[in-house]
Amino acid sequence: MKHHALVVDDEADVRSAIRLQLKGSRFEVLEAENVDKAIAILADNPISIDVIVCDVRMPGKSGVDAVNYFLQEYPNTPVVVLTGFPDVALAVDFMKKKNVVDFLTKPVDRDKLVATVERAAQGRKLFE
Amino acid sequence: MTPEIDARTELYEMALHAAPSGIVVVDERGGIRFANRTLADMFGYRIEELLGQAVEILLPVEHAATHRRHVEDYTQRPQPRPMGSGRDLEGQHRDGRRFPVEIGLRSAQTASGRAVVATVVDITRRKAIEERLRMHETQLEALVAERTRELRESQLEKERVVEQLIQAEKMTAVGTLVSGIGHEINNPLYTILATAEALAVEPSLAQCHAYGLDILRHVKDIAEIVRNLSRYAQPGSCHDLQRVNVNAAVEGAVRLARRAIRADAVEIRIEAGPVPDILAKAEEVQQVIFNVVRNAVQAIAGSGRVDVRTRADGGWVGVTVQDSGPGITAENLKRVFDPFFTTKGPDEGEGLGLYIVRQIVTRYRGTIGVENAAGGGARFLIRFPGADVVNRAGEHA
Repeated sequence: MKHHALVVDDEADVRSAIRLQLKGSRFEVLEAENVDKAIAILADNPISIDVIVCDVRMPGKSGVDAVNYFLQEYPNTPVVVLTGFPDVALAVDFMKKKNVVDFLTKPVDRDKLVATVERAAQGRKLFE
Repeated sequence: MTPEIDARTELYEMALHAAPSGIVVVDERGGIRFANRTLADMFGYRIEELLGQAVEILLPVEHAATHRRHVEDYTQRPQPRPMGSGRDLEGQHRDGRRFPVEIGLRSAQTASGRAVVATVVDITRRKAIEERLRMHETQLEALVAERTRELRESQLEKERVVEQLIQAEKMTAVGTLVSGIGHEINNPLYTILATAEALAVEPSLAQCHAYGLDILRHVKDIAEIVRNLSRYAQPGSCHDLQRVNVNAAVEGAVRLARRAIRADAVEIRIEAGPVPDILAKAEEVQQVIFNVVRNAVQAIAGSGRVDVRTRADGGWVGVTVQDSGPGITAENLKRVFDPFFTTKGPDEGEGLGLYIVRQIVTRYRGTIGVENAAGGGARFLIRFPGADVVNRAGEHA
């Protein structure tokens, strides 16, 4: 059975990289280039998104706004934060959010990304 | 003598005795012929004791000989002389005490020969006051010199501190820049990593080729970023100015600003017009735009917009940076370019950003100003002379 990962990142190259790394895993990738697009995709697929992989710095709504929105509307959907801007304080803030299960920094290798996304998606099952 | 003359003499004597100055009349041989009461009191004698005495009785003994010469001189060339002119004179009291005096001399021909009328004023008090004044003056001068030295030192100290803080601010700016650049490098690095991973297990040669080209493109991106970074690291000299396209600098600065500033809620738009090149260091022009844009973003609480526009203006390049923030109060408008002026919190810098901006702009003979836009928000206008304007000015110089 295919699972779904929603990737939220403003850079097409990064979205492609995530798609490449998740190729061959049991996750199918849905892409959103901004938070509003992600919100629309979630509204269309309320149940089938198993995990959200979200960037932090994006034009318009940021990853922080996004995580807060996801927590409010989809509290059981786990989020993996993936940022190119490693910042300990930011990581700590994110990890305090109930729906954030991990904080990764770019570049991340395939094995780690797949393992993290897998673990996050299984955590979702635990929530349910 | 008639009683009438007696009466008049008495009147004159009374007047002379009442004079506030001592008066003594000395004959050609130096004998005292007349002394008024004031003079007698001044020197501690009774009038009768003075009459017929040599006038030197009133002088310190070592002055007596000189005095006699003076009297002879004066008798040869009698001219009225103002009191105390040119010399410090001393009288000697009966008890031996000496005191400073001023003496006025006037010679007169009498029936019994030539006489000299000397008017004597005790100037002890005046001398003391003068002395005190002089002391105060000396102290004051010393004080002024001391204060001037302190001021100059504190001015130098202030300049040193300002210079240090400017360096620190530059380092902070470099820090912001580096983390922004880190972000820019991490993204293509991530893409390279993911592509290389895929390449390693890809069976299709055509797909491998495509992955290879992808990796190449991102490696070139990173190389370009690093090249830009190393330009920041080299201070360079004033002589290696290059032709700079301001639009490219604006694009670079805004790209950095979007990445480096926590301003996800602020949209930064560029409206680039055709502009002539300027003669400058590209990284400094970029720093100017970056600082002004950063300032604009920080001025916005919550969400908003920053518009960066470039246009040509008679051989010059104009860059306007307008924000949708609250604008600047009339009082602060005058001060935004002052060093250490900031309306931001303590964590947001020392207030040197716009000061540094103005320093750089001025160095390139450009101008910078700020006003409040009609629709609210602040508008900064930076103008750089185009390369041709600078070259023409150079030819005329």
